[in-house]
Amino acid sequence: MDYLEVNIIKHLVEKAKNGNESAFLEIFMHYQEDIYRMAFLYLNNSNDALDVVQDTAYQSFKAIKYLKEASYVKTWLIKIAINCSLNVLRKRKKVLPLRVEYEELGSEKLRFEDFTDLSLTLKELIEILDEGEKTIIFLRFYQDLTIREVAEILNIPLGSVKTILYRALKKLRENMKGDEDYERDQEANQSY
Amino acid sequence: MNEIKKQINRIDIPNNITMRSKAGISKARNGILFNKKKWPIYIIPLAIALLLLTIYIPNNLMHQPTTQYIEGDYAIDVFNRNEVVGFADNVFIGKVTKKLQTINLRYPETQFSVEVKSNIKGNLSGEITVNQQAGYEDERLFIYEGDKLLEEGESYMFATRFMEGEGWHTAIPIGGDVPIKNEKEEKELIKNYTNSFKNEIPFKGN
Repeated sequence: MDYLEVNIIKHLVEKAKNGNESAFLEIFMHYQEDIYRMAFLYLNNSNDALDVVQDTAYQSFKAIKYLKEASYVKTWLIKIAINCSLNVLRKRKKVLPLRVEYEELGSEKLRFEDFTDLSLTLKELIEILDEGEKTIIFLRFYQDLTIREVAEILNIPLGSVKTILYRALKKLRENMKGDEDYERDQEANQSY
Repeated sequence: MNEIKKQINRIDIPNNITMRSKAGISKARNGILFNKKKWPIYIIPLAIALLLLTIYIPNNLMHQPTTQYIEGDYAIDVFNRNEVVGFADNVFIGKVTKKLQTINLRYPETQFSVEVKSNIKGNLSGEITVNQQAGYEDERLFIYEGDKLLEEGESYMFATRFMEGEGWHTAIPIGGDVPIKNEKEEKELIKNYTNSFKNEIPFKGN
């Protein structure tokens, strides 16, 4: 966000905190597409993702008066949206998916640079990754947050974020490799 | 643009997204508790239940106050003590001395005069005003599910946020207004909340 945008958001947040619905809607509309896409990643269903958008609007408008720092409004909304999405999943699965265990990187040292050539599809993102992995992938690569910021939003150790991130990228890469092997086998079979 | 971002951007945005955002905001304002999508599932059993109540319940019981739960999640997990303490400006033990008033915001909120007995986080003293996000509107009690309306003469472990504009301390529901029945409970709560203060999870929105 540039300086002007920060000030506009700050002004709108102040108005929203005083109950101004239009100001809140203006802020919310700025982020609603990000919220929808994030919810869709979790839920893979347009109606449920729209429910999350509505619920996030509902929860956040109720709680906007507690937001002390306007510049955090985006991450604050995203955090509420994550909770709303996980609530839907919890109802579906009757489990709490995002309880990230404390993990440390083992002897296998993976570098993010190893994954820059990753080619993947939306279907793979939705189907291969678990909820915790989707959350971190979304925050890191879609919201462009740093690993430290992701750790702060999710209240989990930095090391866990790194581990989950690498595990997610590795899963995607292995899946890609599996697809390539399959295609190669198919081609080989056809040539016989 | 990275490949992940490119793929996520392939998720189409429905035309009615703004309408749903507006519906959420409007619902927060009006306190409408039905999920529009699911109301047909509830409306028939509800209608039958209301009919049965009208037929079978004696008149005096029909006039008992009803409870309406304030729907949805709080900005934090109110059952997680470390998050509650991290979100709170003050954590203290206090005794409710008097109910002051109920005001009607999006939901009714009730203010109580509270005598501070001891502090765990922050440094309050004397009589302060604690605001609870709960209260009666006509004969209907609005409250978060799992929370209880504060009572005069009772002591509580409070975790509150100071609302500068209003000059009162709003209690965080459930984990921020825990009733204390006896000395044993008080000691246990002091131990637990002191421990949570050491391990508090700060709220990112601060």
